[in-house]
Amino acid sequence: MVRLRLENVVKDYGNGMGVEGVSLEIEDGEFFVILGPSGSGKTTTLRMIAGLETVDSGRIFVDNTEITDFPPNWKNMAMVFQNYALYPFLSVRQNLEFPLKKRKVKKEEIDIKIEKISKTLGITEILDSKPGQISGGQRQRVALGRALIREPLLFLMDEPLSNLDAKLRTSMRAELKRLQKEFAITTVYVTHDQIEAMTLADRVAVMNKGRIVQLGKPDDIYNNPNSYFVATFVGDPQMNILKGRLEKQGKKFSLTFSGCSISIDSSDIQADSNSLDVRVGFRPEAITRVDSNGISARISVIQDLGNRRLEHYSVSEDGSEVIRYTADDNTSSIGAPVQIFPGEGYIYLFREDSDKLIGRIDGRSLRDFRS
Amino acid sequence: MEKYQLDSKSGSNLTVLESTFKNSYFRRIRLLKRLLSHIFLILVSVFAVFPVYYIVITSLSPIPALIDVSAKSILPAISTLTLANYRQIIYDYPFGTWLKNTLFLTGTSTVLGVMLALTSGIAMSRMLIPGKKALLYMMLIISTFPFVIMVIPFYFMFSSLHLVNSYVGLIIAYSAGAVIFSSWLIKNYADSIPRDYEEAAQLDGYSRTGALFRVLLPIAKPVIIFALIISFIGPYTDYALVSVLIDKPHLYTLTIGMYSVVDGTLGMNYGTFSAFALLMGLPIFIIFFVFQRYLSSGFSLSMYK
Repeated sequence: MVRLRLENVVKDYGNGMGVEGVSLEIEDGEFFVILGPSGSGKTTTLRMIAGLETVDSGRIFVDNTEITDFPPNWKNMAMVFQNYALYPFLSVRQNLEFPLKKRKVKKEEIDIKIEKISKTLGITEILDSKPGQISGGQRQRVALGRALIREPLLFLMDEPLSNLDAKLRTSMRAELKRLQKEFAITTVYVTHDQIEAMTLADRVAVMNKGRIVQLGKPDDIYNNPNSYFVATFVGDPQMNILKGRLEKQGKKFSLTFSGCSISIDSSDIQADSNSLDVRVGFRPEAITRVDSNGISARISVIQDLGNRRLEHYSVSEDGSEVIRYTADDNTSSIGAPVQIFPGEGYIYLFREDSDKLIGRIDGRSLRDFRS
Repeated sequence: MEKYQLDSKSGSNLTVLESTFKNSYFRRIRLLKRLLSHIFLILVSVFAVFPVYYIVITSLSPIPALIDVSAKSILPAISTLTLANYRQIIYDYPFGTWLKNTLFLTGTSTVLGVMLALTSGIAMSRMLIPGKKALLYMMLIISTFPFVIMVIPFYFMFSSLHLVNSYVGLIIAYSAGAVIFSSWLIKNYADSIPRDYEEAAQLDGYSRTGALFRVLLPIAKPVIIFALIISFIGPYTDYALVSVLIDKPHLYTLTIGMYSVVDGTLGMNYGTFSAFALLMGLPIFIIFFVFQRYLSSGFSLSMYK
């Protein structure tokens, strides 16, 4: 059982780039991803867990043992670095031995472990090469091997896939997930890549400006973002955002955006005034073509992805851009006027003046209500 | 139509289709450029190698041959060459003692200086030190002063500390010189090594100091060797300070030894002088030859891969 608990952990660099009170509880065997843009404090949080960075205030526990001020060599945590940090003057085999030698593991035992781990990772043939002589993908495997070989309490990863090319990244992602489940080691994984977060994580914490802004299962983060930041940060292509206005009309609200008007139950909206400016968000895959009463737009660019298409629309009313992600056969030529509507997913409403989500409406239920 | 032709005539030749030159013209230009640069390079190498050649010839010539300065002295007949000058230096003078003294003095101060430079260089690269920038700039400014101007202050300092005719004073002075230069070198090199290596070693179970020694030192090996060699040459060839502080013949180093050998009563003995210079240069030549791999990577300050 290895549960990691952070209680209000703070790192103050004095330049607003630190960590401002992070509390987390990571379960045994969980693959936990910290997702955030650069400068959000995600790497600092990981380094504080590892002991590479001192904790200014707050406490860190493994199970019920406090480890806040333990130096890194006392923590028995393994870390995979972005540039792998394989010792360049040692061969792959010596790199794998390095953590074991310090622990005074017997020679025969080391050999057995190296054989086992190099088979699992498919690096048997490069054991006698130097890190400079092997490919990026192989270095990645050796780095993983060096972390796995000593069976650490906790596995820490700092953007381990970001130096790989796109194709290798996809296969390493799958392999990483398989290995993590096989070894069942509690893992904290830091990334700015939301696809990695979505595919790998059991749970995701989205960080921004030194704070955790949302924590949950990947599909929860995707479908139920609690703020404008999370909604626009998670998702590729990014969520479409249009300007809109919300007016109270009797027991209902009427939402107007880009020449399109819908009415919404008051119970779906948390608004403190009768009329306010909002930002209307909807995902690219939520958009469908409609015959009437939608958003009037023209197609400006089509990106054909083979089995799918990204269609860029220019909204007629204010020229803002909307992207649709689709697999349908309904192709139109560039410049053709069409009507679109987010009828296949959720419509998110955010206040114009703050990050806050004030309502989420299922576009599928609105098809018949459009007026 | 008329206008178009005018334009194309007065225009530049920079378009392929309107060029008045044939392809072979550019090929000849390229060959000519290569030829000229080779001639220039050959001249420069003759200029660089000739003094070495001349000193070798001089060292092998008997004294009378030196009086004759003509084209013949540049290309002497092999039968006239002799090893007498070398024999004289090695058998008539305590050359071995001087060499031993020099290597001891130089080796001790180099190793001491670079060891200190290693700790200060790594500290300045890795740790937060108040006033670090000021310290670094101060060291840079100090290192631009020639060593010679410090000879007289050093003499006063060491004579009041009773360090005249003792190697202790010289070792202190030489290693201080090595520290200044090598600290900068090692600091810059360490800056180029990502901290991830030490951090990985820390997570692999080593203390911070352990990580520095087990991981940073092997990676920094080229620059350490480079610093050792560069620091070695200064004290090895120093004449100014050692001539002021040492006057007992059994403590002589090669530089003062050389001066005492060639400073004859009737004038300079250039044959002996040349032979001594070559013998003295031999260790440095061997060192450069053995460590040339590290020298080139040290000069470029590129990280070891």
